Amino acid sequence: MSAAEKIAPTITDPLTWAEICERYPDQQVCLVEIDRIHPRGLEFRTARVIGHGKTCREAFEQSRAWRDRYSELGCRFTGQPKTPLVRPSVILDDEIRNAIRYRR
Amino acid sequence: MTRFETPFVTDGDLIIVEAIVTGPRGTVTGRFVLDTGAVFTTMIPELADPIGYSARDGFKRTRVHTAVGEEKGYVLRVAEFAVLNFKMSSFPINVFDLGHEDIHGLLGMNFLNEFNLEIRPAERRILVEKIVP
Repeated sequence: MSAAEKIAPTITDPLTWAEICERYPDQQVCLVEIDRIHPRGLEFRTARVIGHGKTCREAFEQSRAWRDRYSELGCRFTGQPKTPLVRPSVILDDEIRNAIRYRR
Repeated sequence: MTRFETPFVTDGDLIIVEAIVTGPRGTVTGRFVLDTGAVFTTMIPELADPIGYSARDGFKRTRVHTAVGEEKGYVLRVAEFAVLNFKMSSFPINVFDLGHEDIHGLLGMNFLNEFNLEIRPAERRILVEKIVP
C-alpha cells in the first residue's frame, strides 16, 4: 500500500485559493467543485480539495475514493515553481507530423 | 462569424489557459501554455493517468530533445480536448513530462491552426473564431 493510499479519504469545505495555499503549502492539490469566476478561466472563488501531495500523481492518487462522485478533477501547485519551463523539441518526421494532425 | 472570448493568466511571460481533457475514466483540467512555437499540443503523463490513459494507449512513439538529452513520449488520441471554448473529439496529443510543477501542457499549433486568434495581452483575454473549412 502506498503512502497516499494509507491516508483516509477526506474532502475539505469549499476554500478560497489563499486558504488552500495556507493549508497545503508547496504542494500539488487535487480540486473538485471549482467555482470559476469566468466559465473558461483559471481563477476561481472556491474549490474543495480531495487530494494533496508532492506530485500531481500523489494528489490524484488520494482522490481515487471520490472518483465515483466527481468526474472532473483539477490539479494545481500552491507554491512558487522552482524549475523553469523548458519547452521540449519533438523530433519531427513525416510519420509524426501525420500522426499529430487533427482530422475532423 | 461568432467570436468567443477566453480569459488568461500569465506566469512570467507565458500565457496560461485552462484545458479540459476527457478520457474513458473522467475529465481533468490543466494549466496549458499557449505556445505558437510548438507544433504539437503536449500534456504531462500525470494528467493522462487519472482519466484512464497510459503509454499502452499511445499509437505512435515520439522522441523529444531536452536539456538532458533525448527522451521518449507518445501520441495519444484523447476522447475530447476542450480549450478556448472549443471542443475537439479524438484529438492527438503528445504525452511527455515537461518537468514543471505548475504547467500541465502546451497548447500547440495542431490545435491553434483550426482558428483565428486575437491575443489581447493588456486585457488578459483571447478572442477566437473557428475557421470554416
